Amino acid sequence: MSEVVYENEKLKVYMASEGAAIKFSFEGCIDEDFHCENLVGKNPAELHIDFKDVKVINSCGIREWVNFIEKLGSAVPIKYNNCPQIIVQQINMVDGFLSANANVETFFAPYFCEECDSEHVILLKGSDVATGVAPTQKCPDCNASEDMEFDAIEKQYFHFLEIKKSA
Amino acid sequence: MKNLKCKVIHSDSEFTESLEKKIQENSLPVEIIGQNETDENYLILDFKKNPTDEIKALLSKKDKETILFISEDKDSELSELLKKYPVQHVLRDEDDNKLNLITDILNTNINNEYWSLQKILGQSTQIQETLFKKSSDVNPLIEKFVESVDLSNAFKEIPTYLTQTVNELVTNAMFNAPVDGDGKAKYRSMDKRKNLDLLPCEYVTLKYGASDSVLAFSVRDQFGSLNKETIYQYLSRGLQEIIRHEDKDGGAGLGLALIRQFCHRLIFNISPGNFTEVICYIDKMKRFKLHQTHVKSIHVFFQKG
Ligand SMILES: [Zn+2]
Repeated sequence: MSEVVYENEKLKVYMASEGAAIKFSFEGCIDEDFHCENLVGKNPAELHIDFKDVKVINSCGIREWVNFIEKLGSAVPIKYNNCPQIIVQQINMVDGFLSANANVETFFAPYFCEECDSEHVILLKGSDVATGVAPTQKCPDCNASEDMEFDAIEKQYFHFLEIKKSA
Repeated sequence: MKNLKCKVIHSDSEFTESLEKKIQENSLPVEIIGQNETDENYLILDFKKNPTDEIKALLSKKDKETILFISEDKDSELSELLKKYPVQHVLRDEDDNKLNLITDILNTNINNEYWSLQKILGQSTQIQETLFKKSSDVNPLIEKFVESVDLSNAFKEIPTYLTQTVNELVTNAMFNAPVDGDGKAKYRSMDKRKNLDLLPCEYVTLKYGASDSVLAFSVRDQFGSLNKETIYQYLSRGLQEIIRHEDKDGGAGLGLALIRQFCHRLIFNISPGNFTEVICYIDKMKRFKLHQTHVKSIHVFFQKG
């Protein structure tokens, strides 16, 4: 069961219990209108954040996000899930977007099938990329025997995993 | 028409020769002067290694414009450089089109023009226009705009890129550009959750056009309130590899860094007190990797006296 715990014209945040953890699912546009007061102070054992339905995040939204993460404090472990490419890019670029107590559990990564000339985004686990190398994937559209090609620069795209390793 | 003098410092000896040829082909009134001459209007500089004191002295000279070539991996050094020196044009050394770009820049200067969307896309290209009059219109109008864009041969993330970039530019033009008679920002500190209704003289214009290979759009305010110092501060911040959020006053730096992730060329046309226009273009490539590694350039055109 999930309930809407925050809402503005462009963004909805749903909250659900997952055992002792709570999950916030964001849907829409994170921008200057996002204010996190309703989302802090819940003090769960663990916090899960689902980014799957985030469509846009602008620079004001990034600032609000960093503010939100700071307010959550460093005591509760945080897991980021289903991060789309635009969120991965911000995690890699903006200091504080992923705090020290937060980890990326799952994220989307771009692949390309040369056989049928099609793009795909594949959900990966952080643990799939332990060595910084993209895992091999078959095209979901065609029966190509060749694996798809990872369609980003691994060192750049998986930068956030490196930061976590060196922390 | 005026004559321009260019000083070229480039590690590739063939570069100057090819540039000279290109200038001749285009019959431009431009002369490439010797290394010992000092009356250049343009400094064309290849930034392969850290600049020497001599180059720093050239960069700080007033009354000249600089075209700088930089390699892919030099962003953080460029960020440092822009803190101190106004460089009008930053081009990638890897850009196959660089000679054409330079002649375009010189030609634009000679004719005292800006780079307009129409000029970039060609006179026959149809340009569509959207006016933003209030903040509550921003998202619905951008959504409508993105839906109207022909995305054939472009990769799937392009709608997201367009939405992100236009949102950033329009929001910035709406809240940060309008100034009162004393030059003070009118809406910058306003609570952005409240609806902002702009006066007719404050409307923000989005223009869009496309060719077979390029999507281009511009966002223009009616103020031109960005000064040189601010723009270089923004550029410098926006080029940092990791943006520190503690740069509370560096908001626009973050905005620029975002835009730069998504666009291949960024052009600022600034007429102080009249308008600021930011033109972005995205090359329609199909693959994310190509998009990420594709050459990127930045150009600043200030109104000349
Ligand atoms: Zn395939």
